[in-house]
Amino acid sequence: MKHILAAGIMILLFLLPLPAQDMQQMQFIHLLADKPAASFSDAVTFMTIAAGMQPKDFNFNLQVLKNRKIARGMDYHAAAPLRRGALSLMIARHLDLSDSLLYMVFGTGRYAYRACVAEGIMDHEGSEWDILSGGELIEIMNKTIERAGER
Amino acid sequence: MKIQKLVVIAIASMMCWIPALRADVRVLDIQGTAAFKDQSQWKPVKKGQALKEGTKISTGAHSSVRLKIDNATVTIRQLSMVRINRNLATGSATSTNLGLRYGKINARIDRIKKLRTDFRISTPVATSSVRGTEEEVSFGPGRGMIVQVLHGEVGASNRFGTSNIVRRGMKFHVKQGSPRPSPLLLSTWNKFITRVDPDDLTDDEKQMLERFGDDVWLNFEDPQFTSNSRAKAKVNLQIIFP
Repeated sequence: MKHILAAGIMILLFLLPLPAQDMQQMQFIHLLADKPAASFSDAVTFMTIAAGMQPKDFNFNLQVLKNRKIARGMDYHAAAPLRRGALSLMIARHLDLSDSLLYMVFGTGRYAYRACVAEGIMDHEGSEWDILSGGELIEIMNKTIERAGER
Repeated sequence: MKIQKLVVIAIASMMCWIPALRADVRVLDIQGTAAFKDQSQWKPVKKGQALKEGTKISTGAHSSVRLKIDNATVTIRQLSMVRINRNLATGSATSTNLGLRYGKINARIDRIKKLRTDFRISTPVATSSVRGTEEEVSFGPGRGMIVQVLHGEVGASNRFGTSNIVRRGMKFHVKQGSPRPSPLLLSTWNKFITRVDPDDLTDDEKQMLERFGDDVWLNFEDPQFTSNSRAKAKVNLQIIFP
């Protein structure tokens, strides 16, 4: 009986921080929506959420994404403005986009962006050098998560 | 006697006056994470909770919230923020306005006889008004507003005064700062079963004929292509004009 009670208490203790973590995620999205320019750190946090994990600090999140090969070779500063090309590359790796031959060959942000346009995740009117706003990042990640669910 | 008259007048005037009431907005169910803000703080949304006019509702990744607003069922999809701008109801009419700041919502409005329903979804670029139908509305700063009608028809108008009636199969798409929406049937342009070409020649065939003249056709040995046999066929065409 004592064991069952102890196990119950342990489960409860593990579950207690969940609502607080969820509200942190909401807080992150609300702050992001008002940002005129999203940062690389914002994209890393969002990609961690999209990958189904609970985000922590920048270094932890980046390492998680690097382990999953989503952010392989990406050593931007956390506060660096987020460019469409860098985000496209992370998305293309996360969704494993393999329909674009040029992306398969070169694997650069430029062709990852074209692959994302072909998938309907990004708009064709732009370039890989565009700096994205917080609202745009939310919009693109919305499509990305939708696409990931369809696969 | 005077008091009796006053009482009768008061009762009669009370019966004639139908007040505009705040209609009921209730949370039917939640999937994942959702929060609401009625004053200053964001709090988690709970099932069965009633929401007031002016409340903002926001959903997280992999999450959604279903609301019941009078005769409408509204599903707020993941990563969306919605504000209940207006929600009034009298005995014979309801008026609802939802402000979609970003994300996607699905609204299904059931038509009820003798109840005038004014259901609007506003975004920073345009407004859609629904009467007894189902639609999906999304908005984002990059793509702008997209209205897709699943049943019935929807009126959509942008900030520059352009208005359209959107029916099933059509898509109302207007970008931020753009005075005109894209053609309503743009999404169906490439979804054809067959094409009708003048002179029974496709563009490629015409180009080939212009380049090589009759040489190609005359040197063709297959009788299927060289014979001039014609046959009649019955064809049903469904032509949709925007």
